[in-house]
Amino acid sequence: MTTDMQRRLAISLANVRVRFLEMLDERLGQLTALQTDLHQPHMRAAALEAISAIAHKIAGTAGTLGFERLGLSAIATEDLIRLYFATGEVGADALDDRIAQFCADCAVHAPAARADNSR
Amino acid sequence: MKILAVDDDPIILELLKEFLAAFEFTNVRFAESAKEALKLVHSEQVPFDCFMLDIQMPEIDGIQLTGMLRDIPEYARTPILMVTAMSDRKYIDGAFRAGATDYVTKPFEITELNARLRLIETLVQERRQLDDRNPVDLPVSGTVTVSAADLQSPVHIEEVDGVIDYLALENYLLQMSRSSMFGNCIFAVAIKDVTRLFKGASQYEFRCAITDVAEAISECLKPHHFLVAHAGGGILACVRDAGRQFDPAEFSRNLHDKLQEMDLYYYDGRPLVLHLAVGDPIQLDLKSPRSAPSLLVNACANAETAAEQGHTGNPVDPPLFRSILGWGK
Repeated sequence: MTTDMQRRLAISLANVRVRFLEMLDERLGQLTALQTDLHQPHMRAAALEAISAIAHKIAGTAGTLGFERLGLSAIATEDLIRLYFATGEVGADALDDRIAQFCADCAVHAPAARADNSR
Repeated sequence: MKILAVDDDPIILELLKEFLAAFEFTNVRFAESAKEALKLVHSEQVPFDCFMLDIQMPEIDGIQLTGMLRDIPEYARTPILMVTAMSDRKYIDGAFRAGATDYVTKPFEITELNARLRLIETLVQERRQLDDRNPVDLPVSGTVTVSAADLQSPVHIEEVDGVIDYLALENYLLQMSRSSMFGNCIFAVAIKDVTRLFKGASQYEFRCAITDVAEAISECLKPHHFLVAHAGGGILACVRDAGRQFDPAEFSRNLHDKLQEMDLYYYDGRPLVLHLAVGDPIQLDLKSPRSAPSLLVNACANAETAAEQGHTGNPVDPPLFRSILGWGK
């Protein structure tokens, strides 16, 4: 790739980053609602699957867009949920703590959450 | 190269759009689901040259979509690049068994993605040139005689469980070796005296014979996890799990029994008796990311030696196999 191409790609990726962060706001909202569902026994499994799906999407893009730490947090969350369903060897508290940490990592970057925190 | 990228995450599609534009791939279509992709596949006038598929999608996942695309005759050999965050072995195995050509894990590196697409572009161009030279499909009856070049070229085998193209097998090993190949082994099976056996035979007969051997290997390898590919020159390369338990002599006996059961004939009714040599297996005990394709070549060379010596032979230098197949030039 030429330098000019790299420059153009950097500009394009900056636009995708903005879109990613906007979407992160939406996803953080969904995650927060799902965290509440986790405490309802009959809703827990569905909530975990939905959280895993969101983590999967964030894991697929965050690293490429420069949010490596958030990407790793998403991967760790998705892996732990998969392990929870596959083996049952993961404690509920440990899983909920991981999800809470993942939400906190999302909030570090999500524009609306950052604005709320700065007030 | 006309590309169709399929992913249910709009951010991934945006990323791919930017990356592909930067790589100067401008003829690209996007779909957010397998259903949308299939609609595009059936409605486009000019067929796609390459697919980029996510695995985890609602309703129809990327592995199922790969199988559906392979069932469309026009797309039986079109390169399919899986672009996915799923790095577990079961997804990698599933994707390649369904017909994937290559596999890139998200989050992807821009240089890696570019390199993989360039390889696919080369493959597409080579196939296009071949199609231009041989615009008519191979006849289903035995009129076109098999040439030395035909004997050396890998045969594309369809609808045999666990059998994929050789390039895909190389890519599978590369992908698996990024995680671990521990416990697997690579070995190859060679048809003895392949040149004499098929001298004067038709291309169709040769293709059928390779497919029959692949089917026999596939049946004998069950219920293990395995993948098989024709490397060219009547040699089939195999990767299977439980490598330490693999006994070449026992496998060879089973294989010959299976072939006898299959009762093969040339097109003119003469019986086709195939003798196979099983090469010494190579155990994959360590993570070996760079050496996986060369191990495949070594395994083929082992089978070739076994075929020449009439028994399971000792490994020979890989260049012998490469030069016979016209590789490494």
